[in-house]
Amino acid sequence: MNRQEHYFEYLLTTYQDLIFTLCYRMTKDYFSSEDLTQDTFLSAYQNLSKFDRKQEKAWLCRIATNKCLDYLKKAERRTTPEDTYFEELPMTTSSPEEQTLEQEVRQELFTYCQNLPDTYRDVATDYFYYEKSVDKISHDRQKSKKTIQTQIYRAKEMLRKIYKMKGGFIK
Amino acid sequence: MKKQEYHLKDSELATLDTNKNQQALLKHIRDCPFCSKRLAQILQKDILPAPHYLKQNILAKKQYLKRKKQEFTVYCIKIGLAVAACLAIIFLSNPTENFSSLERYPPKATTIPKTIEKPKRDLSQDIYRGTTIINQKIIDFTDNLTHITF
Repeated sequence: MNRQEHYFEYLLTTYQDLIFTLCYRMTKDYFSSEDLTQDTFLSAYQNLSKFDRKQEKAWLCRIATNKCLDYLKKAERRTTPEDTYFEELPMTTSSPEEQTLEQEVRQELFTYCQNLPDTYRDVATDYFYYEKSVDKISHDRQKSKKTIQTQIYRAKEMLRKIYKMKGGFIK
Repeated sequence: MKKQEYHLKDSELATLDTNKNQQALLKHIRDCPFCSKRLAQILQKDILPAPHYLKQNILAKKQYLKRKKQEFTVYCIKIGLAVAACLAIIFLSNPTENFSSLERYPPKATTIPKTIEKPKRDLSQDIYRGTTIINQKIIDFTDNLTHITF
């Protein structure tokens, strides 16, 4: 691995939490924040040769801010979907003033995972909330890795819909 | 007179997510390294851990995009070499000599020759030999390219 690759991995390890926090604060959507963080670092990688390696934090934050701006503009143009199932799901988090951001986000994630259909609920909770690996979940539940990966993928799509419904952009 | 630079207040940065002019403030942060750095300092006071799989996903996506870019580069080189080879065959094979030989020995309509003379130069064999050599060189070159690590 050459120097540029090493440097990129250093940036990713050091600043992924910061960029994820910034994206989540702007979008209030856990999975969109994940996508925006990914886009930020991929953009950073493509422009790494032009970067002077000074003020890394500010540089990455500016890229992330740009991605969030594009996301917010697209969200404004999005039309309201017709089904209301996800809108009616209960939301049991306490107010932001009573918890740190991390506690609030994790509580919200847990609640949404628990509201998924039976087939996906436990796998989603294990993977997204308890942060277990696919191998561990596959071993614990005596199911093939492929089955678990498919369930995680589908659970993620459902959770994305929930977050989009609950977010402040779709009225 | 020097124009004073405008920067966001700490209170504006701290409540960016609930501000009505969020997009305008984000546009400023995008263009202002100073405000961007201050925003990062404020966010670090209440950091949210990224999902445990995110780093691996980003690295995998980066490798995938890099591989796609390499494949595209190799493909473009192959096309370029193929076009160059075609042009080389057209301009270097010199087919006019064979047409002039036909003018010297036109077939006679009334007599059927008893023996058929072997042509002095076989164009199709030349083309076949030429393209085989060029194809082999292209294959060897692209094979060497795919083994180069970037």
